[in-house]
Amino acid sequence: MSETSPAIRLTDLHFSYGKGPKILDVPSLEVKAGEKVFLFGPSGSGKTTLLGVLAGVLGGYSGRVEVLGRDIAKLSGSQRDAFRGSHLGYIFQLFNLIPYLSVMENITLPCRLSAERRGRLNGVSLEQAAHGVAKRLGIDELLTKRVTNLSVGQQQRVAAARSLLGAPELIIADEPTSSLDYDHRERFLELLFESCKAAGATLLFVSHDRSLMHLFDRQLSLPAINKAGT
Amino acid sequence: MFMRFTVVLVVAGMAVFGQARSRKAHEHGSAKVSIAFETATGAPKGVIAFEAPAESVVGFEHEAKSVADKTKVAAALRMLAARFGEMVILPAVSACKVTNKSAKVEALKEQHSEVHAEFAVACAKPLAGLEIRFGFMKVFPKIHDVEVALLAGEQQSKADVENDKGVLKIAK
Amino acid sequence: MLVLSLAYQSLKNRVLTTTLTVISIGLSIALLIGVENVRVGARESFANTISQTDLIVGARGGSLQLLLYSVFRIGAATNNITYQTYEHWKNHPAVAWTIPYSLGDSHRGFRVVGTDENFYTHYRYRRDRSITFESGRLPQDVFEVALGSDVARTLGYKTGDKVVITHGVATAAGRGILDHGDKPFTVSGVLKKTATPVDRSLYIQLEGISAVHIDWTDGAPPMPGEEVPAAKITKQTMKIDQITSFLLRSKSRIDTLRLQREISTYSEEPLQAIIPGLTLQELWRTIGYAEDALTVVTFFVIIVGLLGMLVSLYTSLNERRREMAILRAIGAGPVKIISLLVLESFLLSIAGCVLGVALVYVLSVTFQPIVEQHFGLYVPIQAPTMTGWIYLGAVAVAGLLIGFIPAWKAYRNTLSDGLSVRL
Repeated sequence: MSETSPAIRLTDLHFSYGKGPKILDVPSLEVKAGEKVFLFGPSGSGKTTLLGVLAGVLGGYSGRVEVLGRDIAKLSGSQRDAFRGSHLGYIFQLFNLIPYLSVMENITLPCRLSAERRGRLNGVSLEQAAHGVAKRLGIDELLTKRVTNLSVGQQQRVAAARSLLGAPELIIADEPTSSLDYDHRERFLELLFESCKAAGATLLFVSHDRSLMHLFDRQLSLPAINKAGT
Repeated sequence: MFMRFTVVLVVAGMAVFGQARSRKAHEHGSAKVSIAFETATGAPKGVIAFEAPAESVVGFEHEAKSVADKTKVAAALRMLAARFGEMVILPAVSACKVTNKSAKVEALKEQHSEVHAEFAVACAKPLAGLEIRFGFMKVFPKIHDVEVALLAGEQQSKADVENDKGVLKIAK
Repeated sequence: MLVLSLAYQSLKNRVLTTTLTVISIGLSIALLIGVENVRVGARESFANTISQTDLIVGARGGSLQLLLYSVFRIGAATNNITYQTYEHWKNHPAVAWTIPYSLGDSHRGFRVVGTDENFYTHYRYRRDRSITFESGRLPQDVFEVALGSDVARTLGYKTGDKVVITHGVATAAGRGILDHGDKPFTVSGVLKKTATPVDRSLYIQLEGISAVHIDWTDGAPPMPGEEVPAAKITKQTMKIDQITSFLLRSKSRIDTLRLQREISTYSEEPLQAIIPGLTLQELWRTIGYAEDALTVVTFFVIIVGLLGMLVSLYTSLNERRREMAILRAIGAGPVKIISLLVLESFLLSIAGCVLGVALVYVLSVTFQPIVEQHFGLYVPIQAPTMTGWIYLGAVAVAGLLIGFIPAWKAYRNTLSDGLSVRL
């Protein structure tokens, strides 16, 4: 993928779960590489479904979905998994971490699953790289702890560290701040922006909390672009 | 109590046993082999006794009066004596030598007769822990059911060898 | 390797359910292997109810019948053999020793066995164990009796007590119709427990059997006034006419076959000689159905154990939907998700196998002496037999296969859940 190709380009996307009602009908959407995009909309407007399609987890749509210059419909199932593991970072709203792994193990898991992603560490050992990311997010003291002993804010920063490690080109965040209070929210976002910038990653941030939207390069209303949402 | 348990088993088994036991003494196709070794260790020495209906070995049971019949009897007994090692296959590693001591046809009542033969066995190496296999049908195709008893040291066991299938394990 | 370490850590995290599952599989494995060992032990013990006896000789009849009344004290002989015949074989040059048995009388349901010193000297069970005394000594006088340990324990007798024996075999509850009440016996000793049928008999001298019947004619008690008082009877004056059967040890195993043939064709009296090990083996084979039933039951226990594992894995899936979604989001494909769960199931069954085998060893080592003493059952402590290994392998493979059920479900979950699991 070249520098100029967009991080995300959707054309005529239609999606429904099985034979259910149409959830997504997006004629067009484009996110430029390196952009920080805020996607908002009320609950049930199809935000998480859209992310599932972009991540290549939900199939069975019609239309064209290009992520990082690749038509993901043309990838096989295992290629999609490998692609996601290697190029995407994903942060959930809550319960982001594998409960039986330590902080360090959680952060390094994507790189351990994907050799390609591990290859982008530029010769730095996995532990060192993880330590670096953790330090930037202020959780380097917690690396050996069990994730169940962390506060929600700490957990979200571990999730961010995991999504950032191995320099994925696209970070998708699904309401990662909704469980944080205002101060922590701002602080978390600053760290996330900083890290994305350092890694040169594109950020697609989904939330229904519009108080944060001013911090982003671009704001997108899903109801506005999704004709099925009404 | 295990003992009381076995007693119950014994009683329970009696009815079944009674039927299972009723093997005819002289049944064409059935033979009886008794193997006895003083011990299974060292260089074991022993005897093997063989009993079978003459029909299954010689081909007939009437008294051999004609020259042809007498020739048949002599040939069958010679074959029995010479190829017994293929019928009762002792473990090769024990290097056993089987020597025929006697082989004859004995007349029974009611027109029946049986072949009785005895063999001496001398092995160079121990038999303990090894297996005895069988190949009666290769030599005498009619012998398909053989009751084999083995005495070796304190071991007393038996095997019903049907169609040459079955092994006798020699205790360690 | 990554999936293996994930599976291991995931199991470690759910330590309670993991432990319970492993214990349940372990217990069923222990039961399976234990039953297998007990089976081997039972077969061995049964085959060694009597040892070092080459032949049992009695009047011609059924071979099983001869074994049952001579060894198990069940049933009765149709005919006796004369004492001359017994002496003929006793003195045969190929015979090492003989033990005569004279049967037919009883005491409160227990058989009375007339025998001689040879019984105490030569009788062997469980390969090489001989008869020893718990208390007292062997009967030396015509009217002395030694008790098997079950007899003494059940009836509460001790050395010095008087015992009246009954003509014929009476039940434990009802007294026999015809007691030898005029000639009571004194307990001279009690045998140590053998956990064989030896424990369930009373032992008197052959002369004792003659003595209680001396004034009887044709199986009927003496008319009043014709009784011979016990005081007038001494061992020397007693003549032994007949016995029921005898055990025989030949000087060499090779002689056994020859003796068996000679005895079966003895012209003076119709006799039969059986090799006890062979008849016992035949008997065991016909009652082997009980073994099979036991095995079937333990297989069901195993199935229940594995189903328990399936249930615990399956029910944990709901709590783990989020975990599966995370794994998918960070690039774990269906193969990884499925192998994670299959591996968990496999690890559980392997751990169960290890625990089960360990349990069998610990229990065997702990209880072997107790079981042997009380039940006469020698359960061998040994590495799993071929059958044992097959069972273990089968359980491990079953665990592996069962893992595919929750794995498939988990995979389906991740497909329908995508990345959105709201719990």
